[in-house]
Amino acid sequence: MSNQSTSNLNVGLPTFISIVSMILIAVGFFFLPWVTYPDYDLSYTALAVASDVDAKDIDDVDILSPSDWSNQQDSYPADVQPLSVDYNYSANDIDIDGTLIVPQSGAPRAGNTLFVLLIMLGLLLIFVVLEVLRSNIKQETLSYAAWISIIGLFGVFLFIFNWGTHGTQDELIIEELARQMILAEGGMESFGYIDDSDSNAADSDLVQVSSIRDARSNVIQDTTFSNNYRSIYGSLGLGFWTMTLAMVGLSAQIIIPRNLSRMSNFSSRDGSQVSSGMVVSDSTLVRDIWWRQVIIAIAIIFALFPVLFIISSAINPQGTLSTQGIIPRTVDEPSDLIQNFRLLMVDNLEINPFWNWILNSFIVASTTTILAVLVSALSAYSFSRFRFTGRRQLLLGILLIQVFPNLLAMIALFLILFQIGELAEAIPMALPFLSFISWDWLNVFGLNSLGGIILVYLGGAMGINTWLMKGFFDSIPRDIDESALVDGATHWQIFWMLIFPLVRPILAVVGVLSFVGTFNEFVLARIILTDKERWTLMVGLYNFITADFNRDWGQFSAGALVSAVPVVIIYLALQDQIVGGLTAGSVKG
Amino acid sequence: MTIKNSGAVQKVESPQQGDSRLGTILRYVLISIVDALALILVYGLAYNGNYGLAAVLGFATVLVNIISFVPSLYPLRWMAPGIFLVIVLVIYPIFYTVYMSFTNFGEGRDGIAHRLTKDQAIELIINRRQSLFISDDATVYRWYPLLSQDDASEYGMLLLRTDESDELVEAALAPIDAPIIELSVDEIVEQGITDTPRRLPETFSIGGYDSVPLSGLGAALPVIENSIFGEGEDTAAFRTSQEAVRPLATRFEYNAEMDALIDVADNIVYRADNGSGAFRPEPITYTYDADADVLSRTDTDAVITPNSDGLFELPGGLTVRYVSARNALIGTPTGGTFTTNDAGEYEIAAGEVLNPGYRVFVGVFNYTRFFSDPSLRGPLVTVFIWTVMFAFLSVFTTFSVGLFVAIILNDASIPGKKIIRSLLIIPYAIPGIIGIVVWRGMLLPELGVVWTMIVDFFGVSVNWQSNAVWARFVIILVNLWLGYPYMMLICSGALQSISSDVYEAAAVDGATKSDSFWRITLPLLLVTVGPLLIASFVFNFNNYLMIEAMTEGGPPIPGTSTPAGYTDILISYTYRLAFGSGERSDFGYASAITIIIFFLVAAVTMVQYRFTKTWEEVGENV
Repeated sequence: MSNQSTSNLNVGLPTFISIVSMILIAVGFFFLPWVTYPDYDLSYTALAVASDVDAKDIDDVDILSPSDWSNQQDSYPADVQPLSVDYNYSANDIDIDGTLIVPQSGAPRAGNTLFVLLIMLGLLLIFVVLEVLRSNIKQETLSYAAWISIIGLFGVFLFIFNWGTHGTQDELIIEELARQMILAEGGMESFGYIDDSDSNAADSDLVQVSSIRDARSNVIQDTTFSNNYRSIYGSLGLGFWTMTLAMVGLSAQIIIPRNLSRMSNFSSRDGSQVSSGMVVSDSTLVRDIWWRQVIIAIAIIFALFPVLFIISSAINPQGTLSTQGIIPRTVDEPSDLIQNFRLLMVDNLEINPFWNWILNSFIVASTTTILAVLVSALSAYSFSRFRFTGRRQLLLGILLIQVFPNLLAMIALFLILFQIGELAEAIPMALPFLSFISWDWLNVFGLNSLGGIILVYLGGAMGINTWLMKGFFDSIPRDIDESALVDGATHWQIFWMLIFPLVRPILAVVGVLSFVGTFNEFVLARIILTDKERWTLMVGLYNFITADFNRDWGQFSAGALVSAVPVVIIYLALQDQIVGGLTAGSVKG
Repeated sequence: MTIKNSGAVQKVESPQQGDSRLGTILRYVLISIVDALALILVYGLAYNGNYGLAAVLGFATVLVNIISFVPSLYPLRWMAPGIFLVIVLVIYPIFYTVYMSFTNFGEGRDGIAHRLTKDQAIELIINRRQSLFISDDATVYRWYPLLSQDDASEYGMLLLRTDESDELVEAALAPIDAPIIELSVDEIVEQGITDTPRRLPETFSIGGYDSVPLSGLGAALPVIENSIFGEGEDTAAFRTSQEAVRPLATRFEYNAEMDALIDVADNIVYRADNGSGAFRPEPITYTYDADADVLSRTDTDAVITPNSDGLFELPGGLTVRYVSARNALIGTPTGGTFTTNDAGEYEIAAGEVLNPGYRVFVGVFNYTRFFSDPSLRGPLVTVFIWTVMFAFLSVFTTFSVGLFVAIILNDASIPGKKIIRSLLIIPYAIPGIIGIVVWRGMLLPELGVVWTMIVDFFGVSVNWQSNAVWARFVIILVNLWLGYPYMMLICSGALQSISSDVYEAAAVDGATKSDSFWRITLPLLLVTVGPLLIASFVFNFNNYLMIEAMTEGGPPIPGTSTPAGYTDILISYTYRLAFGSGERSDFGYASAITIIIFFLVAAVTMVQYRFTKTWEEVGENV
């Protein structure tokens, strides 16, 4: 075949190019800090001033440059004295008032670079090994190698994006500065604060300092430190990376079509490869395949970017949204990686009872699931095994009711739960002779209760699930029942001992879908559950970002990760079954 | 998937055949427990006036009983729990919503609450504690709890009174059930307690009593609040300021004959307006006597004399001035001119509509309001158009991208398909709320990674929180992220079911690639996934979560009477009306919109019914 022979001629070149580009990537990463942040010195003066006398929290602190201060002095109370700080900054350290501090912030530093370097070296190694094994390699493996290079590209993209956010360098410096100032001056009081509001004083400086970020432009513009460094050196860096990318892309273009053309030869030989909508011919494949790979790569980046962002935020010890990048840059020691998890699961439990939320979510989701599966399995058995008047109407009715989303009935559901909750007091009053029993348990089904939300969810139990199950029940031969009936078994025995074990797969699917759906449900839970202790995990997590989107981002991400990982695993593990269930009707997104 | 039950259709068996003796006993026990409980709950609900829920609960229970005991209904026994749940938690809420949409339930636009029934409202108003007056000659003391040195459970009170310049002028020691002892001011001061009562020392002793430390206050307060200090005529009691001002007589009485609440103090009639569910004051007529400069009420002959400023203080809180030149009463300072009617009397509305009102049946008012009120209609048109746009664009984008990726992945020559597919469905597996919030975080102006990136690379700051177009774009984008894996999954399923023969035949006939896509793939695909697309449309039509978590409806539409934003869809708009901002919660109006949404959704489903064969297939499968 002509393709084959052509590609044999090219064996050496793409390999060579890809190896060279990998080396370039590695070297590039290694030198990245110097490329983007060359040595420079800067020194400037900043002033911190409380915006008014009653300032109670760090949000009321303004950071000003001296010229801003002289311009705006009139707008501050006469007796407020700004706190003045001079500082010098070089590439490796920040000197504040003679105190040398190690910047927690910063450019991709050696540690991170090493990390990326190792990954790149690993990729390189794989490539080399593949090349060595090439003579009798399976075609798929080679394509995987092409894939790895695409993933490598993705990594490069990420890193560039990450670098793109390094404008936050300034902001990190300012934050570090402000933190140092506040610590040096003995706390917030020195700003004219009455800092009695923050019970969480231990980490308040960390938390609060972030809001000073907003003042960064004020300072920067007025100093010898020019914002332009970013665009100048940034362009250099960008150019460098673009060139590298171009080379990698080039090599990928050569490698992939070649390998795939080999593959398509294979396919046409055994004749089993048929694509839908695409005319199968070697030349088309060779021409088309690379952009398909690119599109898939883009799709994967689009799909995974937020996921990587959650992971990164979760392990980034700087817990605010404004300090996030794709690769956490502020990790000094390994234990920093779990700082958000520690805050969420151990330290802040009094403020945010995380374990309560998890427990509530599991109680609600598992109770709902078990009951819903039971109820719909019983109904499905009846629909499947009996013929009776009204059967058809009932089945259609179940579908019809689904048209009315229970979100629409939320007002009514809300009031119904309210009325049930009132019963706890009403019954002993209405029926005094029954007051020897405590009727408080009815509160478990009222507003702001787990029982209440379970009731609301159970309203949907008889829905599409029954249909799904009925379809599956129908596929189980009736002969089984009949022989059992002849042997004198009751229907209950047939259901429980014969059918139930046979329909386990569909029970599992319905159960998983129901569990995940309930576990993830947020809207109704937020209406019904008002107490912090009663919240489900989703309501609790959402609360992290309602008050201040920025501040508790790290903890939110940690919680999000914890809650998403099991669900994702379940989904991935049961992909095929779930897809079957999906096509039968349940919708998301 | 279905087997044909032609020969072996089971007619309903006799219950004996399908039920053991143990089962029967169990059934009876279970049913009696359910019945007893239901009876109690129904009675309790009716006692609280919640007749609707009581009736439905009763009905559902009776139905379950019938199902359980009528042999021919045996198959229904299996679904008794399901039927019960559906009736109480699905069907009843639907009817309840319909019912509410015809009432003024909630808080109206006039700010009057219409949550209670009429009887409850009357009872509440009659028993309400009016914010009346501490009588002018009452003496107010500052008090401090004391604890007897002899008996650790005996409390006393130190009473201190200061004059306007904070000088201590009077002091007394009030034990429980013993005469109050006057203390001389000097004695107090000498003992070093204080000369300004605001600065008592942390601990002090006086007259055999110790001060109660802060830690003991919790135990002390309940005792103190329920005790009478002093003895005989001279007693002191701890009362909250609210209790202190409780009127001796109730202010309102209900007159059933007139169907009105009557303000006894001022003699104003608040007649029940059963159309809008509120008690509205009736106007009072006055005559003015120029010689005596007094206003006389014609209904009670009460005479009102002007105060020192020459203003008449009318019952109901209005003050007016008589202007002789115009022979009119002028509201001061509120404005408004009152002239005499034909009978030579001034007719002046007294006071304001009583709050709370009560809930009444208002017919189709909420619906006509929906269609006619211009200030409501303003946002509604915007909201409705965006709702349809949003639902359509969401389905369109997710389907296009999903299909595109599915077609690419469907190609057999792509390696590692399984891994790719797993990676691509991850957004679908992530809880929706988390996905949305993460996107919101990444896109957040000034803070978010993606936002900063866009600024750094392109110099564009996307202010999607204040710009309606960007906000909508962002919503569609994020919804695409959430939704395309689903479309990809169902499309790849459907693609695989299309036979390759069709393509081969088309290729033989000279069809190009685009021909075979538009004329073969797409039509065949739509047959299978069409219903799911419509389901997805309906889902997005009510995709409250997406809107609320991403933009909370914002940016707000300026100048609307109800809170609405450019990205609000009908359901989020409704939600805000019902549960939204502050005290206002117009359940009746929100329910009406809900019903309208329901009809819109039903209409879409009808379209589905007409253009697809789903229902017929359903019919066959039954």
